Amino acid sequence: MVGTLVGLQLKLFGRDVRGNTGKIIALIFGGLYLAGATFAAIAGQWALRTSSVELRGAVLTVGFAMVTLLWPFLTLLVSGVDQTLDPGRFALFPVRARTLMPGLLLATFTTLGGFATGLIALGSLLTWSTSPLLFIAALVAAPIGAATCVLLSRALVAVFASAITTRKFRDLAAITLGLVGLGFGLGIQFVSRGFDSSGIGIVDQVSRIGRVLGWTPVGWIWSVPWEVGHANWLAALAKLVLGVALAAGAWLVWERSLDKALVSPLESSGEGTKVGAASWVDRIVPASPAGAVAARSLRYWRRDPRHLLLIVSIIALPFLMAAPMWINRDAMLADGADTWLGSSMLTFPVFGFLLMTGLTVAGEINYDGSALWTQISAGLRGRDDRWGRLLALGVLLVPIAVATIVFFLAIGDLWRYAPGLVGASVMAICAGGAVGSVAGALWQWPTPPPGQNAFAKSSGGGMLAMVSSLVCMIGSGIVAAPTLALALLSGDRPVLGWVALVLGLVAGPLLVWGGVVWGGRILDRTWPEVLKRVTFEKS
Amino acid sequence: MVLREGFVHQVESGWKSVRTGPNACPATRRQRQTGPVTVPALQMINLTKAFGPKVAVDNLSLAVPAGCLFGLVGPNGAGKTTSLSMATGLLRPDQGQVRVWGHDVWSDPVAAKARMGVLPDGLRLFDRLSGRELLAFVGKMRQVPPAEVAQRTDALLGALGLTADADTLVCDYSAGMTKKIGLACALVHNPQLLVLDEPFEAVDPVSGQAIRAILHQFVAGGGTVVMSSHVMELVESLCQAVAVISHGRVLAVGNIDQVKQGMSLQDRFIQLVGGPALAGGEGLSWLGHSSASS
Repeated sequence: MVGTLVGLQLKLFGRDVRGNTGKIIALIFGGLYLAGATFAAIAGQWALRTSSVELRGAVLTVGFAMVTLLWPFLTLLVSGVDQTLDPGRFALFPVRARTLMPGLLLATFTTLGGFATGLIALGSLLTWSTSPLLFIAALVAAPIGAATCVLLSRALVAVFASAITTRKFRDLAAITLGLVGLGFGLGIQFVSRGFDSSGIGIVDQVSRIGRVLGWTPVGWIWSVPWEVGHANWLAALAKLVLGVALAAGAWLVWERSLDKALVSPLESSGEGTKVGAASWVDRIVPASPAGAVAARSLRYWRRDPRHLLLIVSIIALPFLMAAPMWINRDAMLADGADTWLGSSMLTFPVFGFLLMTGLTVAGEINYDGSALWTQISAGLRGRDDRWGRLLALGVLLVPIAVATIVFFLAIGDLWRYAPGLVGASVMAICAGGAVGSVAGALWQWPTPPPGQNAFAKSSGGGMLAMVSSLVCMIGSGIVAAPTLALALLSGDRPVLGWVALVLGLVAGPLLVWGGVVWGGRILDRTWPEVLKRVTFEKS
Repeated sequence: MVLREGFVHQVESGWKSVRTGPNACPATRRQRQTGPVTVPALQMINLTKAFGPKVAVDNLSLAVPAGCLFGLVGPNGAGKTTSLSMATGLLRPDQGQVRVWGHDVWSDPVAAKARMGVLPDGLRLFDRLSGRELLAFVGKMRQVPPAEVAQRTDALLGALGLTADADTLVCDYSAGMTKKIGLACALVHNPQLLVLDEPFEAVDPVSGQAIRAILHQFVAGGGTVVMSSHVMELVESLCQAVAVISHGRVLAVGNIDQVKQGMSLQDRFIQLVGGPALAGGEGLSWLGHSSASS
């Protein structure tokens, strides 16, 4: 069974990639990136070999605790679970979860991320290769630790995906997860701030963080060799037992959910949500084809959990990015960096919008899935599609932008930056809209439809999504950079702020118009191909 | 094989002679107003589509005269959905042309699509909208005046028995209800040609009757319907003309009686596409015998 499943995963992956140039390119880029990161991590582990037991233990514990945390988080929030071997597909065969699980677990290590994780985990053997005892401890810990990464993410996804069946709860779960993720980022900022002020060396800091993490579930198994190195036999044993128990617990949770999935693969039907017959949405959009798309898109922003999560991130991102500045405000002010601080702070919301607008616009069309046929068979012009989506996003973004700008100007008392910041924000949103409109027309990938397993992903989309996101961020960043620079410099020379404002208000809309027309033309030429690309698992 | 091809040719030429004759699908008022009788409502010319090595539609030509309720039947994988997808502009053919009232779907898509209402099979709807919102969305995209959209929405929802669920999200509809709201979407801009892929699938008998009535009324008013199905009895009782396709080719086409040749459509269909040998043969003799004994 193990061999069959691993073989199936590889075969399906090969089929998926073969003959698809876009996927191959994305795979190469993603693979190179991962290979680079993996190589760096392993080289680091090799170099660390000569350090003290304390430093080795602390660094590895912190590093692997991060990897262990990243697995469930990336799985839930960013990449989705690789559904190449969806257990629901085995529902008709007389197999139990227990029979499938070893194969599914091993198959995960043949995916790019899994393979890299496995290699890095094995790299810890290098670090601990200085004495037989340490090596044996690492040899025991590494496989358990690597398996824990996968098992934890599988178990968490199982809990979220199978326990929550009603749509409302699922929406709530998605948002909660998003907020937890953002809060986690903030927490790290505060923690690092706490260490900064204590005035101790970096080695001590790492070892303190390592000590704490070593006693948390994500650090148990990874810190076993460290305890062995210090001859803390009892602690080592305790951590080993706890680590194995954690892996076993995750295994059991996963097994239960799999057993459930194997007998009830079909989605339970919802509760029959009613909505109002008339709504403000129809009143604010024009009665045109573009307006139809905008109204539909606005409703999806509210009713589709994937969209809701995006909104939460859009609101949170500027604050999240500004947090380190805010936390370290006193230190910077003490250096007499008032102008610089003000400038840096005010760029953050702008960067936030820059990042989010382009990505959001570019990704919008993928969420439609095969329902996109409605637009195609209605003979909708590409530019109406582009306008409609931008209009809906604008309705949401503009109030958020205004609130964020006012908030940041107010807390820093930076009103002299107001014209420049408004100009730069308009430019950022417009640049994102323009670049996103073109990128979204060029590249599409399938996403799981709303209401199905919210954490599922179709194989192959991840890489293309990454490339598209990078292009959007870098592209709109380059386009908006001059205006942004003007806004930054306007603290000393107010006139530059007004130039930025005029530039944003004039060039921004022109850019959007260009992006919409260009993107629209691409869509008009390629509607059927676009439909094929956004269709999720068409059988 | 030779026999069948000769036969097809005979049927096709028979159809050609009948197509413009008085006994074919009646030319209707609307058609007489809009153009010459000889322009077919839907014309597929030498359509070809291959998915990798598999040729799904193989040089298929078909003309559906105006005012006709036309059935497209064929076994699984015959290329019904692929042909209809290409006919409606959702799938680009490798080769060939599609014309709707003379407008090429691929070079003049706006004019062609404006005349067409489509219900595909196996594609999703924007199901986070309520039934009413979905119809408004489609109506507005097709530039139907808002007041008219509202009026038609109520009428369509009423006729299809969806009034009570008008404000329920489509994702909470049953499969049959989803088909019905899809049909309403295809009708809301009052097209001249309806292209329906398996419109009766998963629909209960009562709703099925309602859909039949709507289709009859649509054709009586001058519209043309092309629908695919693999339920022969349904096509036999509902459609005026039929095309049998298999392996992406037309095996027979014509008025129902012409194609049937005095048999039931079911038997004629099996004869045309070549059914399997009776009773599964000896290779399956183990089937149904208790496996516990082995």
